[in-house]
Parts: sequence; C-alpha cells; structure tokens
Amino acid sequence: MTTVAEPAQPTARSQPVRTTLPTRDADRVPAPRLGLGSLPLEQRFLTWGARLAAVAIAWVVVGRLLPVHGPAWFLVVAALANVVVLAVGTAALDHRNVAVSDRVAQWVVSTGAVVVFAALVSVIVFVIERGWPALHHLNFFTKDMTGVSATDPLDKGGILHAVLGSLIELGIASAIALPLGVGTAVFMNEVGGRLATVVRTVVEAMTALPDILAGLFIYTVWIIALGFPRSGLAAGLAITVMMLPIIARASDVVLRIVPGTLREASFALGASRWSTVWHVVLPTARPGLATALILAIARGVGETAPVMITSGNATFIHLDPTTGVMTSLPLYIFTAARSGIPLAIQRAFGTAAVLLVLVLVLFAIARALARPPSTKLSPLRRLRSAARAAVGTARTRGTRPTPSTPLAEEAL
Amino acid sequence: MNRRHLTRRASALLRVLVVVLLSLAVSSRLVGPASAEYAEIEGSGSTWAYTIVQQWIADVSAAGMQVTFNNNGSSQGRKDFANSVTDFGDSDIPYQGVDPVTHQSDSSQRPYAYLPVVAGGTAFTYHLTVAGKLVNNLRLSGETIAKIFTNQITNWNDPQITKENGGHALPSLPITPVVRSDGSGATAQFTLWLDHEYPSIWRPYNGASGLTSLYPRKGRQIAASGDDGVMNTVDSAAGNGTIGYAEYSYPLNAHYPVVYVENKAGYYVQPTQYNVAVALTKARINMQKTLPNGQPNIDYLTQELDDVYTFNDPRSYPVSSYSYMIIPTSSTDQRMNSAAKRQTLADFLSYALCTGQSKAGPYGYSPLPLNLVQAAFGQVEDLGPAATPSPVPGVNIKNPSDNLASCDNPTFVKGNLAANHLAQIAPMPLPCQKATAQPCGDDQTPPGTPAGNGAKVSTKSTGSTTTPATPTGTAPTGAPPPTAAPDPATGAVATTATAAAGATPATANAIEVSAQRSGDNRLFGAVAVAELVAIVLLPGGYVAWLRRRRGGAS
Repeated sequence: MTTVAEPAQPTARSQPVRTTLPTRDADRVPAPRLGLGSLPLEQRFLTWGARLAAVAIAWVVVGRLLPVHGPAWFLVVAALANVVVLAVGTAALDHRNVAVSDRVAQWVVSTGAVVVFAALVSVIVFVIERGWPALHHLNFFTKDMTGVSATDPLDKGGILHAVLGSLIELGIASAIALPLGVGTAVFMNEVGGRLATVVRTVVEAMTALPDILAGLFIYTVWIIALGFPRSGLAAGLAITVMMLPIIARASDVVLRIVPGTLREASFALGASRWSTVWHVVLPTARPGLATALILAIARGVGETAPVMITSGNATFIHLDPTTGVMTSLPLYIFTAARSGIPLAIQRAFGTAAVLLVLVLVLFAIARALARPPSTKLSPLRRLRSAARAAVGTARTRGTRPTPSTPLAEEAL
Repeated sequence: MNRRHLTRRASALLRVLVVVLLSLAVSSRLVGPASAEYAEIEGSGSTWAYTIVQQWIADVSAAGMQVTFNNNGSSQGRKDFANSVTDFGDSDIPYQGVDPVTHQSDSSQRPYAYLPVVAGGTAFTYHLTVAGKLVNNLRLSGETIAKIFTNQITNWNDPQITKENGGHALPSLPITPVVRSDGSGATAQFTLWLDHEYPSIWRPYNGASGLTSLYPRKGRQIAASGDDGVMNTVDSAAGNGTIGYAEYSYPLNAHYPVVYVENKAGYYVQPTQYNVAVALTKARINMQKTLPNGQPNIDYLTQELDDVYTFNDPRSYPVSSYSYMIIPTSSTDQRMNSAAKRQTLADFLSYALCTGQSKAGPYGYSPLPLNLVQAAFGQVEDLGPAATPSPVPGVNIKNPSDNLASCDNPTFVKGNLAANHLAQIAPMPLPCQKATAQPCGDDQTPPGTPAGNGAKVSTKSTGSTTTPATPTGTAPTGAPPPTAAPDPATGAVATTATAAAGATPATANAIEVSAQRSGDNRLFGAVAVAELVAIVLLPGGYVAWLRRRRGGAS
C-alpha cells in the first residue's frame, strides 16, 4: 500500500505528463472468467451427489444390513462409499484413468486433513464435555481438596493445589533447562570440535529417554542416595531431565539456520566470539528459541510418571518446593481417573480441560515474548503518539508544523 | 530496540505473575490450617486399605492435619518405609525378610512397629453378562476359585461352575482372570489362602510353596496395577468374562457384584463387615510384646489366619484379614525429626483407631475389635513416650484406652474387650446361600450388605452394551430362578441391572441354539450390502465401460 502511495506524491506536486486511461469498448461483452480454483458444474454435482449417496448407503448398511452399530461405523462406511461412488462417477463422466486417480487422490488428501482436524477437535470437545459438570463450579478453581472425600459432590473442593504445583514445578524445570539447553546448543554450533559431535549424539539419545527413567534417576540419586525428601523440587528436576534434550536439540536446529554472513559481519566489525553469540546469534534466533522452550514445556507439563515417583499426591496447597509432597495437574488427573469413582473421574476430566487451557496460555505467553518487534505500532502507542501530535500541533499552531510526525503532516 | 522490547514485555509479565502468585500465597495462608502444632506427614502402601485411609485423611484435615498417602501397593509401601522415603507405611502383610520368588530383600533396618488399622475381606469381583444383563449371584467354592486363578478352569460353562450354581450353565465364554501386576498385599493374602487350603492346585502352578506378593501371571490372565486397576479392568466395557480380586470396598464403590465364596460350613457368603468380623474371631494375633530374652518382639500384633480359613461358622467369610500400619519407633529417626510430625502421626492414628473405625462398615471394611484397638494404641506410644532408645518429649498421645466406649466402635461389648459385637449380631445367611439350595435370585439382598458409600448416581453402564442381545445366539431360556431367592451383590447393582434389562432374572440358563448361528446374520448382511453397492455402482461402471470402448474405437 505504501509503495503505491509514495511514487504518486511527487507527480501530484510537480505535475509532469499525465497518464492516459484506456477507453473501454462498450459493445464487447466481457467473457466470463475462467475459475481455476473451482470445479465445473458437473464435477460439483458429482462431488455433492457422491456425498449424499454415501450418507444414504451408510444409513442403510449400518445397523440395518450388517450387525454393526454406532457413529464410528457409520462414518467409516460413509467414507468408503463416498470414495467408491466418486471414482465410478468420475469414470462415467470422464473415461480417462488420470481423471479418476486425480479425484481419488484429491479425496484422500482432503479426507486426511479432515481426520486430523477432527481428532484434535474431538479430544478438546470430549474433555471439556466430560469435565463440564466439574468446570462450571467456581470452587473448582479456587479451592483445594482438603477435607474432601472422593465421593463428595462437585461443589466441594477444587484443583488449585494442582495448578500451583504444576506452575512451580514447570518454573523450576524451565529455569534450569533453558540456560543449560541453549548453552549446549551454542556449544555444539558456535564452538564445535570433536566433543561437539559426542555431545550432539548424547543429546539425540536423551531425546528418546523414557520418562519413567528420568523419574527413577532423580529418585535413586536425589532421594535415595542423597537423602533429600520427595518434593516439588525433585519433581522439577525430573522434568528438567526430560526438557533439557528437547531444548538443546531444537535450539541447535534454530542456531544452525542463523545466516553465517551475520556472524562474519560481526567478526569483521571486531566483535569477539562471545559478543557475537550474545548480541547477534541469539537475538536473531529468539523466536526459534522460544519455540524450543514451548516444545519442552509441552512435553514437561504432561509428565506423570516421573512426578509420581519423585513427588507424590497431596490434597492441599503446598507452595514450598524444597520439602513436602507437591501435586501437579497430570498426577491429579491420574489419581482421580484411576479411582474408578464416577465423581472423581468427572473431576479428572475437568482437570484435563484446565491442563489444556494452561498449555494454551503458556504457548501464548511464549509466542508473545518471542514475537519479533512489529513495525506496526500497538494501539496503545498509536494513541499516545496521536495525543503527542495533537499537543504538538496545538502548541506550535501558526508556526512550521513538525515534520517528524506524519499524522500532523496529513492534518495540514 | 529489540532487547528493550523484550525486557519491557518480560518484566510486565513477571510483575503480573509475581502479583498473582503472591495473592494466591496469601489466600492459601488464610484458608490453610492455622494449627501450628502439626506438620505434614507422608505415607504410602496398600491399595487394599486405601479407600478407608483416604477417608480418614479427608476427615482429619478439618483438625489441620496434612497427611498424604500414595496408594502404590503394599510391597512398595514397605520398601518406601525401609528407605526412609515416607513417615509411615501401610501393608497387608509384615516384612517377609527375603521374597521367596524374586529373592529380593524385604526387610527394614529402620526400627518399626506394626499396628492393625482395619479388617476386610478380599472380594472376587467379576463381569459376566447374559442377554445384556449383569450376572450378580455367582457362587464359587474355594477350590473352583483356585482352579480359575491357576488356569485349570478356563470357561464359564465349566461343569464345576454349573454344579455350584444350582445346575444353571453360564454362557460359553473364556474366563479372563485379572491379577495384580505390582507387589501387593491383596495378592499375598489371596495366595496365602490358596497355599494353605489348596496346596495341590497352587504349588504346582506357582512352582514353590508359600505366599507371593507378585502373582505369577500365565496364559489368559491380565495383570493390573492396584486394587483400583483390577476393578477398572473388570468393570470396563471390554471386561466381559473377567474375574479379579480386590478389597470389598472397590466393587462396592463401582456397584459391581462379588462372588459368593463357599465357607467350611457349606454356605456361600460375601465379605460384609459382619462376615469378616465373624471370620476374624478365629484370627490368632501374636500378643507377645517382648520375647523371652527381653527384646521387643517385632512380630507383635501380626496375624495368623489358618483357623480363619477353616472356621465352620455359616457366616464366616474365609478370605478375611487385617491391614497394618508401619510406624517408626526410633527416637532418632531421620524423618521424624520434629515433635510436630510425631504428634501429627499419633493424632492421625488415634483418629483412625477410634472414631475412624465406625466408618469401616459402610466403606466395605470391618472395624477392629477393641482388644486390637487397645493394643494398637499401645504401639502408637512408640512415637513419643515409648520410643527407643529414649522417650521423645513434647508428644502427647491422647490414648482413650480407658474409655474406649467413647470411640463409637460398633464392635464394643461392655465388659469384654476381646469380644466383637458385630460377630455376635451377625445375621445368619439366607437359606438360598446354602450349598445344597438353589442360588439366590435378584430380588433379595443378603442381610448385612452395605448400601455403599459411593456416588448415588452410577454413570457406569452395566455392560449391557457390550453384548448385543440378539446376534450372539445365547438366549435366556432355561429354568426360572430357583425358589425364593434373595440375591447378592450390593443392593445398588441389583437396581441398576434391573433398570438396564427389565425383570429377567440374571440366573440365565444359556443354551446354544443351533438353529440360529451367529455367523448367519453377518453372512447375509454382507451379501445384501454387496448387492446394494452393486445396484448403485453398476450403471455408472457400465457407462464408463461403454464410453471407454467407444473412445477406444474412435
């Protein structure tokens, strides 16, 4: 938009030769545009006809002809009928083999997209639907489970203790894993050498570490050998073991795509290796590093097994991570869901919904931190600068307008 | 620009976070317990006793006690205690020294004492649908149970099961025993009973004599973690044909039926608080507090159940036992480093032994008789005044043993602490529970069955959806349920089952009707579908073929 407006300005001022507009032929009927994106009419008829036929066939087959029941079978039969009818219909309209395989391939690709999307949506909808009886009580978010027995109604007790426990444990794990992980990545990329290859192999192997081993490692070293109590800190350490290789691995990839020319330019200006890393490489890779942290947090927030071994399940709020059992969200979900008591299972689903939202919020925060500063002003700052400009014009009325603010210039 | 942006945004976020956390901290301090004399204590162990322990924990939190309990199984509970990971443990069996199967050490260098906290019956819960209805009056003798869990009886229509159920054959369905995958006190109590009563069946299967905490899973058996895991496996939609063992409270909470087990008097009984109380009057408790050489007896209060298994009272449930807490007794214990922690554990146990016992019955357990309560209170003294080697000051054991009547313990008999009131008033089984009589029907519940403490609304399907009634070919023909028969299982099961499938009695005599094979529906259905698809597709295919031929000709 700006590129169009700017060249127009000088012509308006100096007025050299005007451009002439071509005259339009009044008699000529404009030919309809060829829509490249949409299918011709008979193909569209075929698409919708096949869908209708598929639903009809599925309705007849499932539960009426075959002894199978349920919406899942209905969908499977409908999908199969759809692709078969589509293939035969295309063959009837257009006898080329390539047309048939084209339609079938198109169907497979678009159905795959629908399946993936439906899986995601169904998880979210299912969790929220099953958890809704618990979720719509305010006390679910503001209370803990102190004094609440497993069969008490849902207007008693809540999961505040698990939310706080999860946040504290994740905070500890992130605070340890982020500097270590990014440091490892910097070492592998910027320092290099033979050791870097070894480190890279170890990091890649650690990515596949089963989470229960991370828990057992902390349990044997921190709790049994060193004799520290089971605590939120121990759980945070176990999560750190899980997060560290993910951060290191993802940061490694991100640092690798920082253009070498930037580093060379920095060295050419006389910067040391350290200041190049600190002032050039890391700031350039910031959005990617945030993504690495997101990935690691997403992995860490759902860890159940290591937390179960290293912390434990409390029913009350516990804010001191160094001593005492601290509950986290996945652990609470696990204990409530395994109890087999219907009310506890509803609480577990409600907690799962909270966990989903928590992950979403953490993602949003990390994205906001990582976003490269945009060229557009935020609404607040735009308002502020407009106010400043208005004050400026009021103060300098009658004199030369301040050229620095485009708003003021336009106002003239 | 870049960095200024980042730091500004980060600091704003940080400020918000700090404010939120601070306000939460303040509010939690406000709602949190105000009592300063208590400190947080941790325990772990038996899932068998977990249902009632969890309730006690919820109850004492009103007094400001913060107790956590991790239901990771008796074996892990004993190990956690020995490793000083927990403040107390809960185990259904004592330390075994060396595990007979795995040869792992199962002992504690940390000084400890046992005290019984609750009694209960190891129930056999099962999932068996006939014509879409949950069977809830299954009767099995101990021998049949032993053979089922050693893979000698593998089908529900086995003649031995049919004979024990008054000649009513169950449908032909493979039996899937559900056992415990983790080291478990329930497994230990069950296999101890098997080893004692049916050694010729159990020992060849196990390959060794004696009990084991880790069940040797073989064949079709499924292993699940925890009593709750066993229960969830049995009552899952895919659980038709399963049978598992768990404490009675779990099927009670899940509204699932339990097996009537035959006792030595020839009656089929369930593990109600009365039947367990009757059986445990024959438990031999080790009452020798000090050994002849003056050393304290570490096995003080442990149980010897041989006479329980063979007790010939018609009300006795054979697989009954006590569950034990393990508490530290050393005055220099590494974890019990403050009087507040000792006080918390002592008060928690005092509550459990006194008022807590009145809750046992409704939750599927049986309360302790008062002589055991009194002895257990004596063990609690080890936390403070009687700790070794020197007493710990500042721990005040509120021992109500002088006035145990105030505990509201339903076993209380005036003037005789060793007597169990529940065993005295235990109702006699119904005539239909006798081995020679026809099994009980659906419309009556054996006396003494608790209503269950669970949620009033059961959202669990009773399994009626798993087996579509018609195509299986098994039909509930056969004789109508015997005589006047009361039924089993928890009252709640009966109601949900009835609601699900009308009034047909569950004692269905399933007969394979050869005229209607289940394969037929499938075959004819498939043919009809093929015809339908052909009708829809053939014209299109024909047009395509014609056009192709014409296209090829031109």
